[in-house]
Amino acid sequence: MAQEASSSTSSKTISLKTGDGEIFEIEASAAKQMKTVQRLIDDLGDDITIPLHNVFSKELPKIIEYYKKDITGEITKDFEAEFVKDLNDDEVKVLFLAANYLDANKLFEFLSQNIADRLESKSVEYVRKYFGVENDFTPEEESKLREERAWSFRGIKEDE
Amino acid sequence: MVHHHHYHEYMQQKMRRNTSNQQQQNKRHKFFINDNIDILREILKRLDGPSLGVASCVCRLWCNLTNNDDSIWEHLCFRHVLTPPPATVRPVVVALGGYKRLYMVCVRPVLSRLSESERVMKRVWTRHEVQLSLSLFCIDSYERLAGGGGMIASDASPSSLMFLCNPINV
Repeated sequence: MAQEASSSTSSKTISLKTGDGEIFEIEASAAKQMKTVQRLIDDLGDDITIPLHNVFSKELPKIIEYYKKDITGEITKDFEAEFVKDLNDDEVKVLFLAANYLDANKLFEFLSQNIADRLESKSVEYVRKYFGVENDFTPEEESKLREERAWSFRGIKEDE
Repeated sequence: MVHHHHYHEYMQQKMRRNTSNQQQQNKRHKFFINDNIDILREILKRLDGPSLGVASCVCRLWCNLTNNDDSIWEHLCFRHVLTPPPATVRPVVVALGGYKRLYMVCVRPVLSRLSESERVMKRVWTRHEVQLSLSLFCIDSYERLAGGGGMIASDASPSSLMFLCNPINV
């Protein structure tokens, strides 16, 4: 009986529960694109609400929006540009990490490129701060490196 | 009386929700990119040349990665090429000094001559530009074998290929 109910996945929806307790629905075909979700479905069954401990109500709707477009084959450069247009650098990072956690490859690759684009012509300090990385060079080492790479620093907004 | 009580409850609920937003922030697993090198590589391989130079100054780990991971430079060299070069290219490039060297010696000078700044407009490379870069790379390799200079233009003899690194004076 239970087997019959889950045989057609085309119009079935899956319930996802975020780390902060909110529930969202996605199509089963969209869930397939998020390998972490699909693995949980394979383990827990598709009638159970799938818990996503490290994804929150702030970003999951945006991810669902992306994959809704993906299953209809409508992801274009314009859509992707629009998708990230109003996001600040931190919001993109949160989405990027969620895409990684969900093993959502297409979104992950798109956001990797977007982050790389955003880091272009940013200063070393900005990149450090963005990723929370500490400078472990001595001042001498750092200035030697910067000198060797002087060609990289033309056009950088140093005070950003 | 009752009205006041409901308001008090409402405010308490609102405060609880606000603290739970904070908790949401704290609940997020702390992610540190230096503990996730695969993810760091995904970002590095999508940077343009000058940004890789900047990235190598961020910290020792990033410096080591950009210096030693040649695949990052391979991505960079052929990023804007429509069809990737055949697999036979890689062993040749590696034998001649690797993709980082290919980029620094051949790709970068060619790109910067095609545009005013180091940050080139993203455009698709033609097959000929790829061939040109690879040919120049071979020549550079032979020059080195013959005892030519390093990557710095001023070191090289007049007949060396390194004139390509000089800005054009038209």
